[in-house]
Amino acid sequence: MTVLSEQEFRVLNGAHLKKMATAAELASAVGLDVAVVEPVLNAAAGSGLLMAAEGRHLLLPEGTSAVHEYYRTAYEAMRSNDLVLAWYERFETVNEQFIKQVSEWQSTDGDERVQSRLIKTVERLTKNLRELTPIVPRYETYVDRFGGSVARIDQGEKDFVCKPTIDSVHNIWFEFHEDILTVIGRPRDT
Amino acid sequence: MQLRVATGVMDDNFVRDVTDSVVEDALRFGGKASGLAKMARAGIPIPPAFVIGVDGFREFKTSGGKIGERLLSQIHDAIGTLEKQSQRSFGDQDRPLLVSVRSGAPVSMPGMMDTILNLGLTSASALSLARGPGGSDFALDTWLRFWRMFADIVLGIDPSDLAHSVKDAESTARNEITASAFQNLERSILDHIEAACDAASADPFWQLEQAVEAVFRSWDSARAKAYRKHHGISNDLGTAVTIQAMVFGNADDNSGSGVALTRNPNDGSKTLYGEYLIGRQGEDLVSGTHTPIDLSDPSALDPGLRQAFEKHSQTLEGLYADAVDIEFTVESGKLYLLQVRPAKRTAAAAIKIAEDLVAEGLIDERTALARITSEQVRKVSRPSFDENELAMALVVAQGLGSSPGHACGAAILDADRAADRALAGEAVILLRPTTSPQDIRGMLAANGVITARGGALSHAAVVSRALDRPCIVGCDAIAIDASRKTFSIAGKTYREGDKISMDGGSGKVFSGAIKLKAAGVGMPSLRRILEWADRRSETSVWISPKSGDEFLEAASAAVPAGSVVSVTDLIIAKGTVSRFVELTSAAGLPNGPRAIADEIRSIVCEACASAFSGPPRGSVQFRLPRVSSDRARRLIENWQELPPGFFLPLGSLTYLRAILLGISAAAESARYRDATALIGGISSSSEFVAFQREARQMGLGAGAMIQNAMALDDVVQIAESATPIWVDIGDIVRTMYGFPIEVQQSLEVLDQYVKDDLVRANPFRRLPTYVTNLLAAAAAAAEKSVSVGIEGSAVPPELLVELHRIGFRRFSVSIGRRDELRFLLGRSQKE
Repeated sequence: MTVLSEQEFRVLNGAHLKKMATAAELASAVGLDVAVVEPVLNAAAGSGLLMAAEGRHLLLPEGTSAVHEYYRTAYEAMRSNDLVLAWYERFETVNEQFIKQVSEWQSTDGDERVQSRLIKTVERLTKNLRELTPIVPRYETYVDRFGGSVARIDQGEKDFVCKPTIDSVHNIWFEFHEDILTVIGRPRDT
Repeated sequence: MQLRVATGVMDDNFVRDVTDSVVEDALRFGGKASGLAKMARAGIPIPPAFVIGVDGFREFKTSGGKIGERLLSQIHDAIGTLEKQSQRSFGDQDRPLLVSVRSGAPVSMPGMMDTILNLGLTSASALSLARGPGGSDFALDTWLRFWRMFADIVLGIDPSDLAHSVKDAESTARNEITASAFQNLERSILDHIEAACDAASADPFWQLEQAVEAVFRSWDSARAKAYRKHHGISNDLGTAVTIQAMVFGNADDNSGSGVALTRNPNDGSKTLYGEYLIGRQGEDLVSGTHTPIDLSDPSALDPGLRQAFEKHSQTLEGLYADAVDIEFTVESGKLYLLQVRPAKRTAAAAIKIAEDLVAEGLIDERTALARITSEQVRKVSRPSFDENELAMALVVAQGLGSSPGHACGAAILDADRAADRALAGEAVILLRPTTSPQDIRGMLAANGVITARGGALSHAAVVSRALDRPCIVGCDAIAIDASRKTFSIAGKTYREGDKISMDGGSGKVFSGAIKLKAAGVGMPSLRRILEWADRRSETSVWISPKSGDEFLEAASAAVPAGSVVSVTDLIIAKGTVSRFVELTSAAGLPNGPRAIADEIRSIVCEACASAFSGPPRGSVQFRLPRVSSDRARRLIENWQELPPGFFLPLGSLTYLRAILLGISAAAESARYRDATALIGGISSSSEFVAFQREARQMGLGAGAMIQNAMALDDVVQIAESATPIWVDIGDIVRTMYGFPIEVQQSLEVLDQYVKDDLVRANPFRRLPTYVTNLLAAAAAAAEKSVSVGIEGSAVPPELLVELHRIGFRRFSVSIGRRDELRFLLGRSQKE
């Protein structure tokens, strides 16, 4: 079993959550410089953790296990930390609210009022995330990504609400949801 | 957006009643107050309201971010007027005046303060409300709703934290309904707020002042500033504040609230639609705890109210020139309209309403087209199941339909395998227990998504709707065995790859593949709208069908245009492509036996016969197979061994003649006289002349598919014989840039390239000037004769709109995109 360094984990976790992404996409998703990300990806490809095709990256089963193993050891303490578990309970409520609002936004052709409520919910999550960043510093990157995408929505680029092929708010949320579930070791049920 | 402020004429009168006609000036009083003023003038009953204009905002700014004495006393006076109009008093215990506070910038922008409702309640008046007909639940819901909004919007305190910390005091008040319980709850609220901020007060005037300041401050929120900067809106413009009396639908049995739509939002028919809840506030309607009256039932509503709605509907539709959605409250028999907006509607309703509004003389055809989006046209033209096959199909499972649409394909249980098989050209349905971000790649490739678990609110449903792909969630009858690659439903086991069909609207899953056909053509309103579009654009949109089925469908749509079809597509649809490829590569080798040409001819003839089956149709033009194409390169195994001459358009006359003979035989046996063969890849008029001779000898018309710059340069000579000429715009742009076909097939890669500032624009979305100049001769020829068209199956519609603008009036696209293109060309046509 390959044991990952923190930096390797961050990069490969990015590839785990975002399949077939380019090095540049991964770098911005995990908040690291491309110059840092590329050598990690190349090394991982060399040791059979990852496959690269036409500049896009896909974790191999070995890489996926290494990522999961890192989650298990690095976040073991958090799985019984009341603060984190209580935080997650609150997240579930906000999550439901968010999906409801995105669904409503979609069914109303991007209604402005629904959109502003939806962004408020995103702001609520980023505010709450600050409580976790002392324990999981890399969550700062999600805060930055949300901020960037909300700014694009404000400029009228509505695709940044939920288009699946770009760093839309829903995509970031979806990735974060998967991330936090893995951190606390829960299966996804919806 | 350019908005200028009339500076220098600062008004000392910061506050106005919304019935004051000057309030219609949205630049000074904001969009919301201006809308209310217009409604009031049209005789629409609205609850009394006043507005603090943007001059008040400027006064606030010059007083260093404080509400000055003058503004404050004007607000107090205006509240006094509201008290008289509503016969209630602000802060009073028994008949309290409650108000809403809303921001109202001349243009609505992100980051501005939202609405605060129910401002004006105190523990004393909440208690007296609790002893009234609504009871403690209504009183506490109304009161706490205010505090949650006030805490969240004005003070920046998490409203769920507040709700949590006062939970005990709240439940005591709910049960006891005593002054001490209500005072205790108020104390808890204030304590929680004081712990987070410095000050808190239960005084409604203090709260009102805070709310107004919060609106003014929200003008300078980071998001609002960024928005103004991006849109070039002046920071001095400022915002207005609208303060309106709240009315009560739960005042007595002669009260109620509801939502009315002037037309049915599902099908667009002109009937009053909506819900009315007697004796309740609007929130109860949203919560779904009480059963409302259906407004579409003519006998359900009091005749006086119905008459009032009919009158106001007509006035408002005239004012908005559109169907509207009305939030209303009846207080002690008096109707108030709280908010009016253009109504939300389904795609089908949008098209029907646009058609009807033209017939009623409210809008013209051009406006009607502008009211519809191409997405809506695409939605109603989405393929749907063939009714006959559907009637015989077997429903095997039922889930929650969460993104509408019909699809069929091979059920694949893994996202990566789904993506791979879809890439190889197979139609797939992704079937998963749940979905995670790792599945997005598979969801993008699949024609539909089904999950065994999960409720209506799931990421899978959001992603599918964003992709406009059908989705069913919570199909718990399906058990998936990922390791065996099987799934079972009600005791029957299926293997991965078995065909299934799905209806993302009803949530039904069927076994087997149900045939799909284009849906929109059957809709009379769409047909009418598209006729208007055609008339405006003066364009004929042909189709490029991929199979005999698509020919049939096109013929039944009765659109007066022809078809451009690739012979290779027909051979693929017929299922004989592997033999055809073998024969092609054998034909290319020197000294191939004579029998090869005969077999090619018969394969082509059989495939092309499908183009002539069924009812008679317009012109059919056959695009000849091209051995040098990207597709041929992928299909033909020994491509590299073929002699170079074979790759030239007229490099092998034996091969060319065999194909022409096949087409001609198919046309002849169908007694079709107007078949034309289109040669691709040529670069000069002399090549074309030679081809024309060949085609004519077989009794076929001859035309050309222009695919490179040299042929474009020679287009005037080629067109001299008045032949049909098509310009394959995707090929032209791609070869100008030297891009491989893969780049053209994934436009987002180029979009990203543009964002990275590596090229100026995506040439498949916006024509480069160089290409536009090259096309000038063809465009001029197109304007003179109708036989020059654009083959645009492989480029996005915006590029075709641009080509229409420079003079092209004939296009050909895939059948699924025809309606959308007809619509877009009509809509973008300038007067």
